[in-house]
Amino acid sequence: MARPATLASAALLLLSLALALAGIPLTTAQVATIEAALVDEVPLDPRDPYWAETPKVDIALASQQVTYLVPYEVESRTLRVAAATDGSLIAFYLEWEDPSPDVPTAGGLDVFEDKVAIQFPVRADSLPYICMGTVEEPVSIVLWRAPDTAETLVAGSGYGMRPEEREALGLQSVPTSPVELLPPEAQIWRANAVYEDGRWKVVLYRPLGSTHPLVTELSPGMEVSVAFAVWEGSKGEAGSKKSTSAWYTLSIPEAPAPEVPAEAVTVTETVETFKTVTETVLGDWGMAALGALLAAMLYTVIVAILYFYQRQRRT
Amino acid sequence: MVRAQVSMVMVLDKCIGCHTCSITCKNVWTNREGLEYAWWNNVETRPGVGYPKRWEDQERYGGGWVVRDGKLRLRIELKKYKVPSKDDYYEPFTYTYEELFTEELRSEQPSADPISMYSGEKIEIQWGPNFDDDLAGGDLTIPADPNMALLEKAMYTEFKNVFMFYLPRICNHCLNPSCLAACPRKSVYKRPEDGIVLIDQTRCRGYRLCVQACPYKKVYYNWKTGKSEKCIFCFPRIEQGQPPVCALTCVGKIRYVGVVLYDEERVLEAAKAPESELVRVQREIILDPWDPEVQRQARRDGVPENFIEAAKRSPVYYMFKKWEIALPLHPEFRTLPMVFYVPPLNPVLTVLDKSGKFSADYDTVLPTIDKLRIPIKYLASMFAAGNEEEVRKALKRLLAIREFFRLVEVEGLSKREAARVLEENGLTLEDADLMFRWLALGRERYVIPTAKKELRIRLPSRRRGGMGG
Repeated sequence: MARPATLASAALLLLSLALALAGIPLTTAQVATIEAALVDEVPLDPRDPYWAETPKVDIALASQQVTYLVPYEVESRTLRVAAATDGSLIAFYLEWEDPSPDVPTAGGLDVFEDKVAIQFPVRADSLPYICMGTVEEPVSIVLWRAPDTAETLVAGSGYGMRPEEREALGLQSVPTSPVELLPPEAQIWRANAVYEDGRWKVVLYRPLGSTHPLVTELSPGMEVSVAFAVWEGSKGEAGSKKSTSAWYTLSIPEAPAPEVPAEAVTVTETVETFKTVTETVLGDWGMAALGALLAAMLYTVIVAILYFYQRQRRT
Repeated sequence: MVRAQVSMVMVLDKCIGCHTCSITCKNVWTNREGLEYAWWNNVETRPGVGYPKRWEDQERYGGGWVVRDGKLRLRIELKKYKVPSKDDYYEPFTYTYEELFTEELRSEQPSADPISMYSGEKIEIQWGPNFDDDLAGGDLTIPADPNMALLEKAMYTEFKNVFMFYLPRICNHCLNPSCLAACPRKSVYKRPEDGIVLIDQTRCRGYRLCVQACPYKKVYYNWKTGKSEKCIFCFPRIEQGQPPVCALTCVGKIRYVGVVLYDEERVLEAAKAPESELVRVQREIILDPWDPEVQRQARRDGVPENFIEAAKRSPVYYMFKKWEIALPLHPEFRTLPMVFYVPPLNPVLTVLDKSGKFSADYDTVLPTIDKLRIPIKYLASMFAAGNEEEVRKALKRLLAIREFFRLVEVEGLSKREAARVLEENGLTLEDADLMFRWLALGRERYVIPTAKKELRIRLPSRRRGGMGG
């Protein structure tokens, strides 16, 4: 006995299962927001228990498209990210799996160091081209290089400025590269990193506020786009050979309201009141599983209805 | 478009393997942390594995170009080839010399132990640049020489058959540099005025694609600065009309520096030539500086007058193009290297015959191939992409010039009578005099025009699809 509806729903279920297994989510996940948690004091040590416990956003990374000359393996990776602020500092905790720590050594001629980078639009209200911006919409980048170097860079802006403007900003009058190291006074990012259990755990932090015209302002109450990149040195990754993410959103909470002395609330209580809860956001895989689950439920319902009608007809 | 290239010829017969070139180069340019292992100029013993070990093995390191579907493609594949490591070069070492002074009085002689320049720890020296000098360990290093692939390896490790010569190497400042093509940051550039290939240290970020792409492994990664560096042909000296340090200090006077004019439009054509034609086509694109048409075009293309004048007296032009006695190193890498080598003259295995004369089978001036100590095949593999005819031609001319002077000086023939041996090999009396002056006396080895910075030299045109196009 042909039951087209049953067959169709079964096919749908199989399809969704197959897609889920292939890692293609049926439902497109809304790009997750990284919500910086408001804390008393930003933990700067990547081994701090706070970072282990705090929920993290899974950032999906995929190899950047590179054509000849440099073809290499395309793969996807996951970077786990959390952020926290105490009203004066903001810190990112970045954690990813890397089978070998690649750190420059004396005579390490074939060592390519592991690296991670966070990219922001220089102007928070813009959404630049994901591959390191354009002249019109430059990006601000913090690059961490194993074991402990943090560089504040700017990309895209170089060719859009007059030599005088560039010199005023502390850059060389003529750009030598699309990605440029900012002058020492704009080097506001710091890093602490540790390699343990087959993973790099890196805390990158900087003061809130605006410091240099080519460094993104990060202030309480702001939402700003953010993207990530990881280089795995053991695979000879450097430069454009890296894996990158899409744009995500970073939301920085409002700083706690200045204490009103009349209320006479203790400090701990104030903090308790304003502590925001960071949500766990399902990654692509979670969404795929959810899709499969929904399809299974749909299938069950349809089959049940069909059976119900057929039984009625027989009697 | 006519361009000028500052270029070098090394006459291998005269190299005594003293390494003065390497040492002076090191003292001037690479005597600093990060480049302890790097020898912009190095001297290798051949047959042998060279520096870094087996650098000629393309299966191991890649580099250079290959022609695929009529297009030049970089031989660089990141999954397969890797950049040379510390083990491929060597671990630089020094000695604990202080201990010679501070050691307490003992019955044994005081000794300075080797220590690593990286860790400072005591090490056992395993390898060094030119460690295989004087055939030490030849039973291992000779068969490992990639140029021995086509030869009876075992035979040439036997004492009576062994041969050796020195091979000094610098960056070849190629016309079609693969290091330049591989750099995604455009840090590597070829100076339009004199063709010297340089790495812009402000642009370089140490991706080391140039290290992989250079088939001669003449780009060195500086682990201290995280950037790559290479031989700069002592350009600050060249600009002042002075020879590079390696050439200046060469004890054997083996190095000749001069300018050649070449046809830039035909560079790709020359790089794509069939293997056996590579040397011939590279010679073709070197232009005759005496040709008025070439001079006119050179002036039109902004080549300064003093460069054109220097090109007329350039030993490189004569040895590579006119006399065809100099050959490029591994032309099959298709980078069109612009440092040339006059192959070693190849002593003949002779014996005194019963009449007390040396007996060797001569085919006019060149002994028959099997009598040559250095197999032609070996030299052809190194200097002519396997084309033995090119090597034979060069050797014949070198022998002819010696035979000519022997006939004049020993047999007492007049120059005109002796000229027969020159003519047989396509040389003239004038050539003989010039060759004698350059090769034997070592006069005027450097003909270097000073830089004309006041003249704006146009940058090479950027064509669409330039990559291998």
